[in-house]
Amino acid sequence: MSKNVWIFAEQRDGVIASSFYEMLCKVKELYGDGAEVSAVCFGGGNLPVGALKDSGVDRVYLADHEKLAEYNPLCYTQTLCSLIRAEKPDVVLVAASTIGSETAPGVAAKLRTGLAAHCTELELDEKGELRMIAPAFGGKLLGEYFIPRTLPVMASVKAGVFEKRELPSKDAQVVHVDTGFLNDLDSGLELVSRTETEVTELPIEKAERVVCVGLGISNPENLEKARELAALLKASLGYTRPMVDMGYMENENSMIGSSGKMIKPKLYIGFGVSGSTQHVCGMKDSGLIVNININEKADCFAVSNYKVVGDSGTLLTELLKQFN
Amino acid sequence: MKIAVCIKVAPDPDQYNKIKLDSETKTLVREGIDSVISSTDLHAIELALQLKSKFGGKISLISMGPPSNDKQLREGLSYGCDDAWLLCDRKLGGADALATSYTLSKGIEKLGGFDLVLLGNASDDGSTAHVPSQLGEWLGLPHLTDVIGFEMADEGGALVKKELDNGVNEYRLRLPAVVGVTKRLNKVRHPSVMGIFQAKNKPLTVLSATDLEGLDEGRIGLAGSPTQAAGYREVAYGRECVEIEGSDAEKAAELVKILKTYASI
Repeated sequence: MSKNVWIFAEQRDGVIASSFYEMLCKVKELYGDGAEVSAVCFGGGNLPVGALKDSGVDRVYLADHEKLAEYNPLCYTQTLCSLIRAEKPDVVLVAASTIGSETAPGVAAKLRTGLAAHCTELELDEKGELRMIAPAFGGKLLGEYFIPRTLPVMASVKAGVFEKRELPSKDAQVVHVDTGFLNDLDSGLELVSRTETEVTELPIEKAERVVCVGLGISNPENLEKARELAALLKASLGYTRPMVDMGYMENENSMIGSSGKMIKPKLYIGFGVSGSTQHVCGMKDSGLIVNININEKADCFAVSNYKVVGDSGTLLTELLKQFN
Repeated sequence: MKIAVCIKVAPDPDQYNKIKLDSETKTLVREGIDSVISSTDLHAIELALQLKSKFGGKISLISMGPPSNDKQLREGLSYGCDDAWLLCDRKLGGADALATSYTLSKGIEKLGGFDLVLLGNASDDGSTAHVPSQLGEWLGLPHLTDVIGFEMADEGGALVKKELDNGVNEYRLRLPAVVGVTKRLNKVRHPSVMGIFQAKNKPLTVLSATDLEGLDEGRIGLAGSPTQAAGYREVAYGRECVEIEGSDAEKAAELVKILKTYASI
C-alpha cells in the first residue's frame, strides 16, 4: 500500500529552506513511486506556492494565517496537529532546525505518537517501515529507532546530511488548510520583538572550506588570526560548542557538532579543537581533515588525515606569514 | 514564586569516549563512567536560584531515575534548592521522551501549584530536546525552548528570549509555563560549603508509580514509549592520520603545501 509521507517545508520571506529539498530527495530515494508525498508549509501571506508545486511533491498543504506569519511554537504545533488529525499521514518529517525541533515534539505529544530526533539517516526495513538513525551520546554511537505502534511515524532530520538534486515537477495539487481556529487560539505566548541575525558570509554548511576553532586557541588574538587565515583560504569560520558557552562566539550559527551544524566541506582545518564526540559527529564526513593541537593525544587526530602537534597560536602566525 | 526544576542524571559527557558496544551482543557498555546532573539542567537550577533571590519562594527538584539518583539530587540541593523528589520505580524504566515527560507531568501535578517549570533544553546523552515541549503539552501549559534570556515582566508573565536559526525572538510568556533553557542563559555558580552541608538535611522524597495519582500505566516506561531503540551502530572514521613534524616554520610550510594542493587555493 502506498505510504502517505509529509514533509514540513520551512520558509522565510517566501524562500523555502534547503532542508525541505534534502528531505524530499531522500524520501524519493527511499520510496520511489511507492509514496504519495506532500509538502506542508505555514506562513502569513507570501507563501512560496509555485516553488512547492514544482518541487516534485504530489500535494501541497498551505496554512496561511497572520498568527503563522512569525514563528509561534504553540500556533505551529496546534496547526500541524489539527492537519495531521484530519488527513492521517503515515510519516511526518520535519527539519531538526530550531523551529522543527520545537514544533515536532509538541505535535507528537498531542498525538501520543513517537518521534526520532536529529536523524542523520533514514532507511526502510524489510517490511517497508521507516527505520531512523540518529547520533547517540553526542555522536559516539549511532542509535537505530523505530516507531512500531503509533501513527504518524515522526522524525526530525538534520539539515545538510542528505544530498539535494533536481526532481521532475509533478504539478502538485494545492490544498488550502482551514486555519479559522487560530483566530480564537490563546497560546499564552505573544511575540514582542524579533532580531534578525545579519548574514554576512556563506552559511557554514554550504562552505567548501572551513577553518574551525576550539577552546585550545586560548585567546581572542589567536581567534583573530584564525579569522584572517579563513579569509585567505576563502573559508568560513566554524567553532565548537565550548566557544559559544565560554562567550567567544555570540551565537550558534556556525557551531559545528551534534547539537549544531553538520558540515561536509572539501577541507576542514581545526585549531585547538579537542575533538569531543559531539563535535566530531558534525564534521567527520568532511573531505580532507587537518587538525592542529598542542595535545598529542587529542581525540581530533583520530578523525584527521593530517595532524600537527603544536601551539595553535604559533602555527597560525607561521601560516599567515607564509601565505602572505 | 514556586519553581520546579526537572533534572536528568546522565553519563558524564567528558567520558563518552569510554562508551563501547559489546562486540557480540551489540549492547551498550558504559561501565566506569560517572553519572552527573545533565549539564544544561544546571543552568535551569541557576535561573531558579536567581528568581528565588529576587522574588522569594521555593525551588523543588524533580528527577526520574534509579535510587542512586539521590546523590545528584543532593548535589542539586546544595546549590540552594529547597526540596527534591525522585520518581523511582522499575515500571518507569526504558522510557522515551514522551513517557518521561508524561511521568514528570504526573509528579509535577502531584506536588502542584508551580508558577514555573524549568529544565535544560536537552540532555547530554539522549539530546532529543523533546521533554520540555512535551511536558508543557501534558501539563496543558504554554512552553518555550532554546531560551537564552528570561526576565519577569512588570505587567505579569515573563519576557523570554528564544534563539532561532536566523535570529532571536522575544516573547511574552504567560505563567505558569514550561521553559527549556540553554547554557547561554547564565553562568552556573558553585555550591557553597554551607550549601553542601545544608543539603544533607533537606527533604528528599522518593515517589513510586503508585504514589502518582491517576497515572496511566500504559503511558509509562518502555511499554508506554512509542519510540523504540532498536540498537546501536559504531561510527567508523576510516582515516589514517599522517603527522607533520619539524620546526614550526617547517610544519607551516608543509601545511601550506597541503592546503594549496587539496583545496585548490
